[in-house]
Amino acid sequence: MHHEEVFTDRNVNESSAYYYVDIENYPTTGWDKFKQVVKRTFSGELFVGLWVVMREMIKFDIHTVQYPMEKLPIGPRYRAVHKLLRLWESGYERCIGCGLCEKICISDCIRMDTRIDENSRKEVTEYSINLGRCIFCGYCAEVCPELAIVHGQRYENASEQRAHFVIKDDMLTPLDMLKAGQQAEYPGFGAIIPGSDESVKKTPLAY
Amino acid sequence: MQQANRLRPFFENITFDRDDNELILNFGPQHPSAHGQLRLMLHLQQEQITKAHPDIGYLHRGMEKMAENMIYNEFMPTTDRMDYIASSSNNYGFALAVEKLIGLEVPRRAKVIRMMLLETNRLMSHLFWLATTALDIGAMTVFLFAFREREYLMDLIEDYCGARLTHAAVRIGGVPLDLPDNFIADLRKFLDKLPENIKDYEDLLDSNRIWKMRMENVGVISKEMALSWGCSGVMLRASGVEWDIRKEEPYELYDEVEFSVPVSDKGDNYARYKLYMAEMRESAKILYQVLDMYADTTPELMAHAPQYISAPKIDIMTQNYSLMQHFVLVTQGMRPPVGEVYVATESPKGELGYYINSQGGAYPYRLKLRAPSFWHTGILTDLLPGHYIPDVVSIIGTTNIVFGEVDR
Repeated sequence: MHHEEVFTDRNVNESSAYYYVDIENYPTTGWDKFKQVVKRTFSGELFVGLWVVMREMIKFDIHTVQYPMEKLPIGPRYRAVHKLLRLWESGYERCIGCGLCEKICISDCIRMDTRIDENSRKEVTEYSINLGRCIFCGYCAEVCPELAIVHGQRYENASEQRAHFVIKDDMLTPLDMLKAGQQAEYPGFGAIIPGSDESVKKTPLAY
Repeated sequence: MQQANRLRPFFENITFDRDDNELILNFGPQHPSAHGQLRLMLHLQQEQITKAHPDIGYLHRGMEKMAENMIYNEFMPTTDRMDYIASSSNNYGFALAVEKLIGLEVPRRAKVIRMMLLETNRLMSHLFWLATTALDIGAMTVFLFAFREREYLMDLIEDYCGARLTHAAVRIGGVPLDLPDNFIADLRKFLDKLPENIKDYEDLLDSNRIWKMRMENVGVISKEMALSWGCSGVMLRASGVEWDIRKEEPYELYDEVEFSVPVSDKGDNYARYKLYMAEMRESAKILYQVLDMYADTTPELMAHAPQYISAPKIDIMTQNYSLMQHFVLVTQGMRPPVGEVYVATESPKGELGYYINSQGGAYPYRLKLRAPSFWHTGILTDLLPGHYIPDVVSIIGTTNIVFGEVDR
């Protein structure tokens, strides 16, 4: 009974906030039950259902996709196997080895190794994503300050060896593809809001 | 006491010869109707259940403990794995709890997008519920129909965030992305067709004699029982309690949209089925209103709070201070003020609550997840005795439990 008190003090003012769905009362007496049996025996509701199915059948509205031969298009924001992008102008790798993706990675599957090269620039020597562990949450793409690591469209990633899951060269855009202009920017997590280039002001050189 | 020998192995827990004619049936954990990893130990007298003991924990991952070793942002994809049928609702509940903890105001466009995500997730969840329950009871056509519609919604979500099941589509302080170009048109097209589809399901099920015999007066939960077992969502409303958190404590834009919540006083499986169908119609109604709201919002997606939230990507790439702030927030995590907060939201399954105790560090000191399905599994102890084995399947179906959420 103490439950009832809780429900007296409410802040729902609209009278139409709740409504009772229309369910007819179930029979309780023997006579009512008998009437229900007779009614159900002669009612044609099963034919209505049959018609719904038949109607779908005779529509010949078939959408079956013969999978390995034909594939459904996937959205541009789809989060499948990662890609490492290159800079458009110079063709260098965008990745600067800051390690933010390594840090944020929830399943701890990104590893990278860096060194200072001859020109005393930071060079990413190893970059691997263990796709066996990856949960494709998109956080690496989201935190990347250089738009370097993004998600790609490749979702068929069966392999004979686990080592194949992690190769950097597979993720990095090949140079000939870049030159052919086939590298695509990723519009999903971590992308720049379209049209925000206009809002960027040039840093004044003279302070 | 048995004698252990090679021919008759000794099992200390099992008595083979019982004089009371009682059979113990292990229902699950691999039973396809058990909706995941539910193990039910049913004590049977003939076909009738005398005692039911749900045994959970087969999917336990220790999420609450995991949360204590993660920064707040990192926990978001983990919440996907609770109620994986409607993962954006879980994301949202967590984001709302943290926002309340730090006192953030979310931009309006983010709110509108969140509303769209929440209600599409509710539709997805209800369609999934209808499909699986109908399949359990034997109506395979409904399963195929409902999965077809759910597929359209999953495509929409895929267009938005790039994932179909584990969305991670909400962020603390807003949403990560704006809607893609064709999203609103596609969603509207789907919604225009939805009443037809719901009518198809109802033609197939509503007055179907088999469906009615499996549903009516089966699994009746009285009002007192529902309240004392901590039921929420449809389980509670089907028992005649007018309680929906979207109405009682409106969050997001639920106080700006017009919708009403269906209730029933029957308390049985059929009432729950009717409520799910009615809620789908209400969700469509909400979505129409939210779609209209989108046009007059400004493009901000994340709250402006440099102490807690990283700046937009364009700022990170062009402004030094934003970049530094971003590095600190990613490597060390945001540090909400000391305090504790409990935020309940109406997920498709019921009251989904997040309790966060923050000691001012980058990791939550304690994070408690109140998942509705957990309580709806508990009620099976009380609900099942007296029913027969086939009823178990339909009752588990209408409780709409998801084991990612029960075991956490």
